[in-house]
Amino acid sequence: MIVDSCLSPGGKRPAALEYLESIGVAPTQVVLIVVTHWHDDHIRGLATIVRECTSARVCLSSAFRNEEFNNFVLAFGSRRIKTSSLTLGADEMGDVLEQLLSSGRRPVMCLGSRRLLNQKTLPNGPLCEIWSLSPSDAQLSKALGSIAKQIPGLLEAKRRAPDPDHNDLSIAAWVSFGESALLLGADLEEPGPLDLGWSAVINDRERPQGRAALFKISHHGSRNGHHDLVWKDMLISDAVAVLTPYNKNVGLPTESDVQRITTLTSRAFSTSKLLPNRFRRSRSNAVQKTVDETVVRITSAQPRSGHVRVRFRPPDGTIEIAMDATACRLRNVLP
Amino acid sequence: MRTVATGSRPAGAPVDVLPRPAPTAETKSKEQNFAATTAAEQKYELKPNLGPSVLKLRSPQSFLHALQEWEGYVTSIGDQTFTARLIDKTAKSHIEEETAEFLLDDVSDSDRRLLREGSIFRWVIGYLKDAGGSKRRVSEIVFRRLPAWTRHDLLSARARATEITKGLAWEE
Amino acid sequence: MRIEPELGGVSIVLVGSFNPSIFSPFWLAKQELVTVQEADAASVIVIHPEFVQFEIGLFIISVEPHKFSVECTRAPWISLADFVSRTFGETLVHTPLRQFGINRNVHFGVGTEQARNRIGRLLAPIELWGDWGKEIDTSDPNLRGGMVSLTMQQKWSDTDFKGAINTTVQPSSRITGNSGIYVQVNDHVESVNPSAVDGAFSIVSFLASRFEGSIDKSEIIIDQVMALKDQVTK
Repeated sequence: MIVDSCLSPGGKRPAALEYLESIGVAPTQVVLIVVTHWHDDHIRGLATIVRECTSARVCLSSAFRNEEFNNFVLAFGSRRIKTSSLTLGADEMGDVLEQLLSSGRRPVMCLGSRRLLNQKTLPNGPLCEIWSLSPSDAQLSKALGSIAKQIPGLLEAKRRAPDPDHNDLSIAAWVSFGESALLLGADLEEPGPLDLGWSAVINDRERPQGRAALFKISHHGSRNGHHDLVWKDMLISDAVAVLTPYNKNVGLPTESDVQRITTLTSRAFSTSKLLPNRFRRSRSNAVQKTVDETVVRITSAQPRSGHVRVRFRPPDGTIEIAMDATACRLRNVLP
Repeated sequence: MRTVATGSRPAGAPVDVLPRPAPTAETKSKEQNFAATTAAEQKYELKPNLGPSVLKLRSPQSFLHALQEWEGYVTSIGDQTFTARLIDKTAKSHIEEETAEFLLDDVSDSDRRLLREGSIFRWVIGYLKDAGGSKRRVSEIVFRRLPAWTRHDLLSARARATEITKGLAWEE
Repeated sequence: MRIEPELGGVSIVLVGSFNPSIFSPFWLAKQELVTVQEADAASVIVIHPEFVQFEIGLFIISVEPHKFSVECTRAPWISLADFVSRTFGETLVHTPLRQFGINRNVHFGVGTEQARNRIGRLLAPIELWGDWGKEIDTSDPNLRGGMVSLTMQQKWSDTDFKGAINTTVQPSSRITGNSGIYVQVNDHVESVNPSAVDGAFSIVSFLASRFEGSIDKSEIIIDQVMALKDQVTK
């Protein structure tokens, strides 16, 4: 199963495919692709994944059944600037939709709690189930309303679709195999109302029951992505928790986020440290001097790419955690 | 195919201001004689009377050679600064590798109206040489005046959206 | 490019059918192709029913009945492509265009007149010209005989368009001390089927998608000429 996509360092190949190939898993062995974002910044390389993982079913938010939403995606996609390296923000998603249509593959709809997969992973192995947990109906309506306002108007100068601050179409997922389970939080937030965000998930009686041993923390560990009842009702005590940091305008997680999470579990990890690293490309003295004179600040936009690997060993699901050199314990994530 | 069609005038070539008058029989004869002896040159010489400029009447030009160029797009706008993600065009990069925060005051007045989230610009650092020969190092932010969404763009997006929405067969 | 040019610029030249009399700074401002401030500050060089030329913003625009050109001597060059895309891809989209050229030109110095002469001899070996070559080689150096212009051409063709890249090398008349070289790369493109041309949209779209690659390639070619300086001065 692959959720979203990013490119490996060097920017050539989707990181997920590179990793799977490194452990001897062919793209054709992937059974499920879950797409939780539409913006290029979060799904780079996704079209390649969809193309190469020919046996995978592709799970999309039910927003893609809405013509107005697809209109928005295609207005900001389809290579509509010819003179720029930049896309308008939705080229990757536009490519995915075109591929699905041309290949006749049937996407799987994600809306609230829906079982996406139910099969044995190995002939004598445990049964594996994968469920979507979001977006809720109310969340979907909110997202569609917001998207409708952003459709460009005639004669409006072309610009890039801004990366949405809130991913209203985020798909959180539940994966269970035998007695073990993991909760993938994507970017799901908690805005407050009971029919939105994590509250909608917690209150959904149709969702799979049980407690997960691993939590991919939502929204980079931010306060917005936190709900106490997720930790209390959906996770085991001292669950393994992993997050990816985010270094755009504001760094996430913040110090208070780290404190909050490390209070809830002693086994919290980050795929990289949150360092405001200066980009290391070598430039002439004249250029570097001018950069320093011009900008208020300049940092690398590429997160340092690291990974945390969590394996559940049969027969009892003992957890093994391995980090590469870039990843770290969450308590060490801040400089 | 004639290079003359779309090339610019050569360096230093004198040019006429106005197009040449239609040739008379006499001038045609002289030109044909001229053409016969300079066929090779004629094939490649850029005809000065079709040149796009009048060197002697133009005001002296300044020249900005870029040492470094980025393409960027605005991600947020504050009270005094704006933030953008940048692609290094000089390094032929294809992904945004840097994030920078700029002063709003560094954006020219005429470009301010183009500044909004998602706006695309070029940031150029280089040496500006003016007509007098003086040279100074400059940093310029130039917002792109991109083509607008045309009726064709919007209608084609909508038509394709309709096709995709109707054509995708979802699993039940 | 390994040598910083002393001067240079980029131009886009379009061949088609134009009405020079409609092009004026204020018309461009009214179409929102330039700002009102740029139109106010524009400097008109020629206004004539068959030829118009003016400086506006950082551009020099020239229009004849069958040729339109816009040139600029200040980076970022992409502004030219954006201007042409909007003018002929939107405002004047019904203009019949048959050809375009993307031109990159530079004047750069090679240090000394001797170095320039040696580069000229590399590009156009004087020995190949027999006795006449010997005459040129031994005549008064102040007369500066030898290569005055050399053009190399590469042609290409695909389904909808065909073209040629033409690179011209000449001594520079703009750099003092007879130590400069001028290089212009003309990336010329035309429709394979000009009679089927209906308006400007298709060819302007192709220009837009080709522009940056064209400039990059031009600079690689120019750099190749610049590299000759290393050959003659080591």
